[in-house]
Amino acid sequence: MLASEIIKRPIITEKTMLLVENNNKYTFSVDKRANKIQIARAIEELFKVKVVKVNKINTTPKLKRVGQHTGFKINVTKAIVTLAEGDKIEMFAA
Amino acid sequence: MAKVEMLSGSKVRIEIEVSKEQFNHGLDHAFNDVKDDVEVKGFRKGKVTRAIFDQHYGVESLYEEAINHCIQDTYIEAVTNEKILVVAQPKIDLDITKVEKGKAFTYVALVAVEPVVTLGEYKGLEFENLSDEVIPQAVDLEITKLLEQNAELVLKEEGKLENGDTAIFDFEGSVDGEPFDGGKAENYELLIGSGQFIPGFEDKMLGMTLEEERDLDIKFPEEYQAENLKGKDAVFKVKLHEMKRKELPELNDEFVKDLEREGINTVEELKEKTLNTLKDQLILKNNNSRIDFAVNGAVENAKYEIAEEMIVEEKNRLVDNVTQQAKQYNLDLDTYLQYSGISKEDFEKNLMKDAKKSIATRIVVQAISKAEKIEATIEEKDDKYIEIAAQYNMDVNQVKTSVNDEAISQEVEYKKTLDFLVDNLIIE
Repeated sequence: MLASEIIKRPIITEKTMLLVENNNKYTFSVDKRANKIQIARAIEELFKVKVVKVNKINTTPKLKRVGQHTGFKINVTKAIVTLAEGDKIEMFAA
Repeated sequence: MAKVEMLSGSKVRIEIEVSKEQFNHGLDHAFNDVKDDVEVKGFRKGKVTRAIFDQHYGVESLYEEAINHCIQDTYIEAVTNEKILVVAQPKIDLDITKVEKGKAFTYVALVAVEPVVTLGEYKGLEFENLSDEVIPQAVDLEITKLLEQNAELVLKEEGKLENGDTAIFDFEGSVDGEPFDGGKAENYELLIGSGQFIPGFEDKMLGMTLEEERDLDIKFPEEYQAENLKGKDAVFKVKLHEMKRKELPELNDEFVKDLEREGINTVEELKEKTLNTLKDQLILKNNNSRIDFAVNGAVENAKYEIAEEMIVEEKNRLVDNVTQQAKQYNLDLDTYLQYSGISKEDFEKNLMKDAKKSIATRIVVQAISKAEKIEATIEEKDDKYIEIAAQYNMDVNQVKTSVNDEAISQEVEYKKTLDFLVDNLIIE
């Protein structure tokens, strides 16, 4: 898989900003088929940083109902990437 | 950092530089102000970080607030450091396109300052000798007035209507046989000779007897408030019901007693009392005209340049005063002016003149008190405090805490200077 296929977008919220500030951890939405090693390599390639650790979270999709039909929201897989000390990703503008 | 340059007309040009750090501080301040109202997805209201804000809205959106903050800080600092006596709001000149984050910028402030007064002649001005004596006729006049105020209206049973009588009558007016609005009344009470009605009306009623009916041919004046009646010939049907004559009471001890004034029981006492009041009034009036003359003379001989802004500022204060006054009658300023019959332009013009005069008087008197080293002593200030306390029915210590000491000394000095000026008049 290409790096740009694995990493979909950054997740920027109050909570993830706190992680950036305190623990140097960056959160991304990733393809759910990718494993932790692939994610680490993709991040290293895209942002030219050193990855120390990756945590992957599979969120449970929410049940959605439109009239009588039921369905699910998109299943988001989050990857919390810990970077080596001193490295940072500009996109998060911390 | 400020460069000060004196201009003519009591104005000062200050060039002030805002440093990088100061501007950054201003930006932070501006962000803190807007922070609570900013909404970004993924953040609760008021929890957005500065970096995310800049990404979403751009740092430029903070410039205006930040610049205002910086100008306020640096301007006040510059004014206090350079000891500039500012008297009006400054005019700020700044090219906003040159402002950039992380860079210093400069702006120019144009300010009106307290004018410098060059005093002319103020001692030994010549003034006529005003007599503090009351002429005896004035007392008689005053007493006649008093009698007239207490005059009684006595019903006149016979005779003719004369000037000074009060008539009670019906009237109905018509133009070309057609009655008009407001042209009819019954049992109307009118003092003949008071000029309340249109000219000619009262004259033509003279000589009427009781219950007499008369047709009055009257031409409306060209300057009449009702459009449709201007200059028209009208006929008024008048019927006289009653005549009343004014009867002056006799001046004797009884009349004086009926006035129920404290300590006055006889005609002699009344005369004496009237004389004394008139005398007090005259002395006060003469004193005021001496002060007026002395101050005006000093102001005229002095040289000064008052900045336009300073006058406008003072004028606005005066306008506020008048607005307050109007408010007491539940009117807004425009209606108030309408009632007083002054056009807005005249009103403003007059106030401008007043403002200029009051500023000139103030600065000249202050300059004189400085030149003559007139200062308020502690005792004099205490006297003033006691006076104020008595006026407002307050405790002296209470007054001392609530009133600015500086203002009191200024007031005392002002008054002393006026006295000084009057003392130095040469009375011919």
